[in-house]
Amino acid sequence: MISNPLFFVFIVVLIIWIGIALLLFRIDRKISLVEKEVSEALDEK
Amino acid sequence: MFLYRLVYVLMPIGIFLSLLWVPPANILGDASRILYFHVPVAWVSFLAFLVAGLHSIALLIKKSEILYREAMAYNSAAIGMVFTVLTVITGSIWAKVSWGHFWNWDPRETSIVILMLIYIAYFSLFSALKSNPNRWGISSVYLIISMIIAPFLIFIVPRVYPSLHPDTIINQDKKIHLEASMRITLFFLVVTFTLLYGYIYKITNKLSLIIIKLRSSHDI
Amino acid sequence: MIRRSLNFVIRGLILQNRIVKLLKKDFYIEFRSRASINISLAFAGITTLSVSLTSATMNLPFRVHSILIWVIIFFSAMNSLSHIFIREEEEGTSIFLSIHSEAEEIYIAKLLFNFILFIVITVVVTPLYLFFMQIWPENFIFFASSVFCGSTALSSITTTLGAIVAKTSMRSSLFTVISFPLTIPVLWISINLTASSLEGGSVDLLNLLFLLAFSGVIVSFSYLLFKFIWMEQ
Repeated sequence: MISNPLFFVFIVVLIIWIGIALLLFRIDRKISLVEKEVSEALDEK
Repeated sequence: MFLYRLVYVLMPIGIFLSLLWVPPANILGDASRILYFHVPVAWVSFLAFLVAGLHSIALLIKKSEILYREAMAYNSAAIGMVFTVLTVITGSIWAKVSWGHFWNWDPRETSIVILMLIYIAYFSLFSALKSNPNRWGISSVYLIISMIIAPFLIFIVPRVYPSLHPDTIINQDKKIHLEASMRITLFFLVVTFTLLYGYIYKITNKLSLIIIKLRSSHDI
Repeated sequence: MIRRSLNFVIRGLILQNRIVKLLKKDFYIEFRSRASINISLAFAGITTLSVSLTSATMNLPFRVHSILIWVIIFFSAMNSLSHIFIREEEEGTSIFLSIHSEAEEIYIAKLLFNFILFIVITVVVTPLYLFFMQIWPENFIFFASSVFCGSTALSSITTTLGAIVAKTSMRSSLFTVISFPLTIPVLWISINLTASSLEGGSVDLLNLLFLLAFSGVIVSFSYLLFKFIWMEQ
């Protein structure tokens, strides 16, 4: 399988997907932060 | 925002074009398809750096909406950092396939590593300034100064070391020789990745704005 | 017209006078305590000695010599270059300084101080190195100007970065991190120039001018941007 050059192309595309997933994960964490802050603010009221 | 949402349509088309439509290059064979992902990612990492620097300049000139502009520069740098790491990894895989080594200290490899170091330095500076009320000014100055030095780097580094990169090694007359179909695909993917960058950037900016507004309403 | 130009000259003289005062103050303070300058000079001397002690009998290529010279200069200067700003922060005099003088005056005074300090370190390190390693550059003027231009460029960039670092919480370790990617082009060119001057290559005017132009660009931008680093907005 490794002799097939398309294997490397596949790995490269996969790595780029991992990078985009990391960015998504970062956004996800930020959203959870906002969610927490909003719910706390609502509780205070 | 609609423009950026086009990425949902363009990305599958781009993947189709690069993997199935384009014929393989002469010498490298199917491995040459890495080009269509590696180059756009590298382009985005430089673009993100540029955008972060321009936002820093705007911040220092206008001195208004400080928190938002600072967050905009920071978000662009964060995306750029991820894409720089992707560039380094995909580039070293390609180097392994075509030149036999993961790392050669080729001029472009050197400049992307220095870009990565600048990003790392910026983030360490940013985190070390957490308690400083003047963080926006200092971090922007650092970004601007590194943006001034970047052209010097791009200028010098190729003069110090000979390049191994495809556009000077595949053909003798030192020009980029791509067939029309390859050029179209490459251009298409560069546009698509730029849109992807813009899309993520817009989302993170919106989020930062929400957080800033929330905190300011809290304080009042 | 004449009045305006006269006004300009007078303002320039006042500015110059104030810069000289700031510079004098820095020299007095640094030489009174002497700690930082002594330590960096001692550091330079000891590293030169230890390098020559272990490798004088080996026949090193000129490129390695030039790398060693620049590594010694760079690391002995690194310590004291940011110290000029860190001292102000640690002794709590930075707020007083920023009330008392304009950002531009502070920047120029500190830049000149760092420049002189860098030259002093270079003047100590390079002859010591040449003496102990028993090498002599083929073209001495080219060698001296390569070292001089490299020092100019390095001191101009590290002054700004030192000011940035002084404002953060983690000082000395951060200084290396943030200055490394920005000093690489300068170090690179300087090492190449010094190596070619040791080998007896022809004078590379373009690269020497490049170093001077680099420092000019950095100094002018830092002059504009310094107030954002040093003054509380």
